[in-house]
Amino acid sequence: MTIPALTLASSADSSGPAGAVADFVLAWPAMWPDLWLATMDTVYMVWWATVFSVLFGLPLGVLLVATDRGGLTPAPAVRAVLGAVVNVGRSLPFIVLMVAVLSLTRFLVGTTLGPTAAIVPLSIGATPFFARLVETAVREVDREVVEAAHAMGTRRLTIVGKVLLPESLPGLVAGLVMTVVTLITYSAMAGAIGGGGLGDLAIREGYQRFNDHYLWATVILLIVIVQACQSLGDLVVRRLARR
Amino acid sequence: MGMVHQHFALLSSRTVTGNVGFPLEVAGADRARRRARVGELLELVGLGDKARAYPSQLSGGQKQRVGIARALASAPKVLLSDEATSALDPATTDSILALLGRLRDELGLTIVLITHEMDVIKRICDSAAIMENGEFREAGRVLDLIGTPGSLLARSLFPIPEDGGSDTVTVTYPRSVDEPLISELTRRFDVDVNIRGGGVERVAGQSVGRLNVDVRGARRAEALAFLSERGLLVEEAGQ
Repeated sequence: MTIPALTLASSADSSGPAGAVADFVLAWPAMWPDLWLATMDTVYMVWWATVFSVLFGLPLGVLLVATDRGGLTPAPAVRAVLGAVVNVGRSLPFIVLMVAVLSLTRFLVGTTLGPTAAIVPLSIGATPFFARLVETAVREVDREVVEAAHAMGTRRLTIVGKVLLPESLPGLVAGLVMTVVTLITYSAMAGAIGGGGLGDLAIREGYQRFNDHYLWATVILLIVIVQACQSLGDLVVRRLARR
Repeated sequence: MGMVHQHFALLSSRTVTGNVGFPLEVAGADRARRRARVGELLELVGLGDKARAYPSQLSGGQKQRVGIARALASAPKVLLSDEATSALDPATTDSILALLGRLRDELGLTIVLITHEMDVIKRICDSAAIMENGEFREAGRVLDLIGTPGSLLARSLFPIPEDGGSDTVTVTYPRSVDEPLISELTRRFDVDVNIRGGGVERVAGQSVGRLNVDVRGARRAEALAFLSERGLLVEEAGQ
């Protein structure tokens, strides 16, 4: 039923493709307050989810490397457990994970609706993702450099802070950008269960109320935001890698 | 003890100054002392102008100089050099060895040098130990080793043909010899000497040689005894 209805809605208020584009552009001022609020909600969700993902994912990723065979503190059992936890997190589709952690969200935030509530599943979904990217980046650090630091009597925590993290910084930043972009798409999914933000707007106005203009506007805004993040990230990575 | 690595093992995220200062930073030295010491060390290895460069902007030899400066940061008595020149081209190897030799003399360092390049032993080693399959095969002062019968070191330093006949002897000069011994040999003992191969190398400050010769004649045994008396090492084929 949706498809014919959508087609009807767009053909009713336009005369040909050019007219449709003109209508769309003219509709922006009226839509803007909604779009702006939704964008701010998305930024708010993604920002805090990124903060928590880095807070938990960075140590988790470093631990995955450190506890591995030949790592700083080899501990196969610990690594097996951490690896399993990360894999569980990675194997759940985000939309399922969101529903699965609803009771935890209610416990932590007091509600399961709105952008603040969405931060919980977003953080849980992105933490293992970022942890794997951290693991890959840290693993790239030259073993000889780590051994050299070890031979100089550097303590393990100092090796992490002064060798592993600075040496893998370009890879870490690239992983961070990938995580932010993933969080933006996740946050749009969070809209499906009342998380707020651009995804929520697209589903409520665009899908459920057949308002194409809202749908296209959110698509454009999401593309612009993702592009901006990626370009900024690439710039930083290039700066760091030039050393 | 300081350590120099084959592949330099420098931190790519730090400048030359940051790399050399790393061991001091880890040991808890404050910024002012670090800066002074790093400046000193960079002058010592001839990199005073590269303090702000990143390792990726340096050549292999320059990187190894940074590695050496870093190894010296904590003023060690012993420097362990693990194949420090193995990743470098011959000219750069020469300059690094010259630097190590100079540091040894100026700072009174003991340098333990791990290498598979025999040339390096000739250039700067006083003593050597040869390892094979995880075991020490021979050890001692380089010149003593060369003067030892059946020395692996002598054989690796002077690659000469080993496929002589029954008349063939290998004569080793374990120190500088200025006398014309071979011509004296032919005159005094009336033997024929045919040189099959040989070499003279500068080892630990001495001209050391190894000759592979056929010695034929009635007084062959006397001739060989004469060479031994003069301090030469005579090894007959098949013995």
